[in-house]
Amino acid sequence: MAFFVRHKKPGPLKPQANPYPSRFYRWRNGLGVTFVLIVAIGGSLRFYKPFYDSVETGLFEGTAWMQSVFVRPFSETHDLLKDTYTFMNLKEEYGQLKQENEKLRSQLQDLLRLQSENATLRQNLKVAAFEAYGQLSARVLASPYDGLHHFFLIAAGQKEGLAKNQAVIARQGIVGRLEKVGKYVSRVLLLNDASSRIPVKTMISEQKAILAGEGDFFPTLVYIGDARKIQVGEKVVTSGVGGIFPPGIPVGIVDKITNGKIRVRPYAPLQRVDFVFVLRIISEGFYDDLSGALEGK
Amino acid sequence: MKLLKVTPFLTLILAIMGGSSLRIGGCPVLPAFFLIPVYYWLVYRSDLLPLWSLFAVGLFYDALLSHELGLTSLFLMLSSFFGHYIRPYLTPYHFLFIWGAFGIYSFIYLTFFSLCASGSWPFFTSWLYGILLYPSLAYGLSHLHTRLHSYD
Repeated sequence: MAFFVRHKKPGPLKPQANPYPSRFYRWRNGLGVTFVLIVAIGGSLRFYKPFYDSVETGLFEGTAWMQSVFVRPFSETHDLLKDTYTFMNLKEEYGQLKQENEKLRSQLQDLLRLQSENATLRQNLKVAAFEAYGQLSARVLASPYDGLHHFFLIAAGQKEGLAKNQAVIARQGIVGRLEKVGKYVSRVLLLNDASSRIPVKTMISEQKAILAGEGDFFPTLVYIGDARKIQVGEKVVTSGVGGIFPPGIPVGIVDKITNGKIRVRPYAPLQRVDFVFVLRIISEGFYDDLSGALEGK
Repeated sequence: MKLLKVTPFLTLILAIMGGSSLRIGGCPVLPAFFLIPVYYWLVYRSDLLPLWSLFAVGLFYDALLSHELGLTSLFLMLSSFFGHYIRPYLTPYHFLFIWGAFGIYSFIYLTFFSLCASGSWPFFTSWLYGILLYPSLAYGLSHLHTRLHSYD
């Protein structure tokens, strides 16, 4: 049974018109010349930054949009199945939510008391107020992955007022930061990507460090004040250094220490995040200054 | 039926979009997964995958997967370039031979790709997935191929 297509054996040669009327046409249609031309033109335009940037942005938006359209039916089917499951367990879910609601109400009372106490103490100690943070929730469209870069595509962009380098969190903790912002779609660089660096501190030993992604699921702590003081099971939060991430946001827990390498298990379940929140520091020109400083302007 | 001539190009784009969200056991199937249609069409119908289309597919891949623009384009065009000289030696009558040649091609591609791209990378698993998935995907592509033949 012929499962795979086989080439037909070439029949006898038939007389036909010369497909290459001249030597110039033969040269122009040569594979090597086309290859060299594409590489030369493409390569030279690659180093012309304004052109490269505009092409990169356009391609990013176009491909992200195509990918979101492509995965939409799959994600809708997934949601439908999830909803069906929820509907089947509605009674139990209602009971759980009621219980959680009561718990949150009591926590809210404590929170209000602490908030007013905090405000009074701040006033008495003359501590400068933190910058106000706005929040925007966005749906995760897709997370394309070929083993190199870890990122999400989210359904929000410049139209919603997002800007590069804004912090992105989930309900459980830090997810990453905005790496590229298009008009309607943005790319979130996850904290476990090899190029991600987040200033953090440990809760018990109070050691400041940088959380560096390594490409796998567990990022590591580098540039630590005193690594010997850090223990397994310690909570890690953002330190607020650098101005991108506000201080005190949960990041993860120290999972393993092997040969001086401290691995952190992130709180946010990066494989199963459906919605993320983008934190917006309300300060005009902050990101312009930051980008300028990073680019050495 | 000129529109049918873009079928190989579309299969590449669909393989990239479908493969980018596909993970088996937590490991990605790309880039070896999208090399299957590249290899198949370069072996059987290289005339339908000109350098320009491979250049465009490479740009699409790089933009979607956040690589440096042009890296995949260059590798795909080199595949086409060398494939032009190697293709006459590939006998399409023996599937195992073609399958084995795909294993070698994908290994060379992934080696160069991992050398040029920075960061850690589950190179071996991707290569293995590519080899294992080749027969099923090539089976589907062969049906498209016969349909294209009937319109020629």
